[in-house]
Amino acid sequence: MSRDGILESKPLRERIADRLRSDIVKGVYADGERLVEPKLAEMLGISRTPIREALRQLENEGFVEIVPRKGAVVKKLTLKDIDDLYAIKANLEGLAARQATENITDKDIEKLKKINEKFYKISSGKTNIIEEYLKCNLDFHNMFVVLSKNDKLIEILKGLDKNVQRLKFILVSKSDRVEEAKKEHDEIIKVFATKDPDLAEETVKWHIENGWEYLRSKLKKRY
Amino acid sequence: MKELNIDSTPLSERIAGTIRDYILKGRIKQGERLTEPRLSKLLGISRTPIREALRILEMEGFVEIIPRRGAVVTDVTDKDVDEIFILKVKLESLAAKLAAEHLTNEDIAELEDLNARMEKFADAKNVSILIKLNSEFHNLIISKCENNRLTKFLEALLRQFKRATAYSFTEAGRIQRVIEEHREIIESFKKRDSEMAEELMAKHIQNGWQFIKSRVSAEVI
Repeated sequence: MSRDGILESKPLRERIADRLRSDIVKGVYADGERLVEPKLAEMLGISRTPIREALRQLENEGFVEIVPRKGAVVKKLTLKDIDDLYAIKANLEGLAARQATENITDKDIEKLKKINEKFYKISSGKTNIIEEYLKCNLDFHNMFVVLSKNDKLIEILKGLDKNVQRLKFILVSKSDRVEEAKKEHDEIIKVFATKDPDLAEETVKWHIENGWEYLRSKLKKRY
Repeated sequence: MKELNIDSTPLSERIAGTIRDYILKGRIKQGERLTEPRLSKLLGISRTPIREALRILEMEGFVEIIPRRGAVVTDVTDKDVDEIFILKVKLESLAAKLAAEHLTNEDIAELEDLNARMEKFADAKNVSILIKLNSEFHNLIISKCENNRLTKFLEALLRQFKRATAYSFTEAGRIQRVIEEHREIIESFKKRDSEMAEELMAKHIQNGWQFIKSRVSAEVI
């Protein structure tokens, strides 16, 4: 294998995984649907080996399950998935907030305020803006995650968020938590202004735990 | 090669153990290149098991394999140690909290046994065995958190972390405290007190952090 190839771009396996992941997140494939290697190979015009590798990566990330004699199927979301993900997310995003208090500037806080206003405005407008709504929420959270300046933490949270986004795409059909989420974001902004690490960690953890409860209730209604 | 005992451990792992000891004792320095031919000559064995040994050490975070340069002994910088530890404090204490609900009485007995074995080797300061028993202790707890994702994250962190952990087992004072802290953690599991398990695990890892930090900064910078 040439070294330049590796440096140049993402491996094929990862590009295929990206594509399949985004399709799963968007709901192109239903829960439990089979992802058939030969079919995917034909569709994408590539050999089966990188597809198999991509499916294994997605298994690792929790998007598909490899079932004996059936192959890869899209993993159904369970209450346990939500609990597993959010237990980690609450702890780590709390930590990110704590570390961010050391780096956050007044300018950053202004930016957080702006994002939060936009977040609120999006939801009070037209219909079916859920994608934009979720993205704006992600922008808000990413601000302080990145400000933690802890590369390993950022990497782990990024990985988690791929799964969280899938949960939200499936479970959040309207912005009915926006009032509360906006208020909670306001609290977070207030706390960042004081730069108190304990309070920042606690407040963000509390906010994530509220989102956790919300998703749990949505899932219970769905199944 | 006298250090290599005849036992059931695969050759590659025994070689990895020898090289790891050299790195920990400073006989092989940080940033030093470990080429297969050189090691092959030094240890008097063929290159294939050496290549495997280097891969094991790469997984443990002791070396980094760089194309066309071979294996290079990694530096442990303050920032690395900080980043890894703060994540470990959060994630492993979460694992302990969750495990308190799932550990069986047999698991707890196993934890006690592992800790007793650590105590036995503490005086001999057998670093390799202590690292191994300590990982088994922590891994057993992690495996019982019943959160696969958390387990995977912790496994990945531990691979990088082992490099740093090793320092804890080079000083008698810290070894004793590790064993005592383990004992307290076991007590909290016996009481099925998840909050206490979380808190004690966080403290245990934080104490290790403080200790390793003092050792690493003294040596690296």
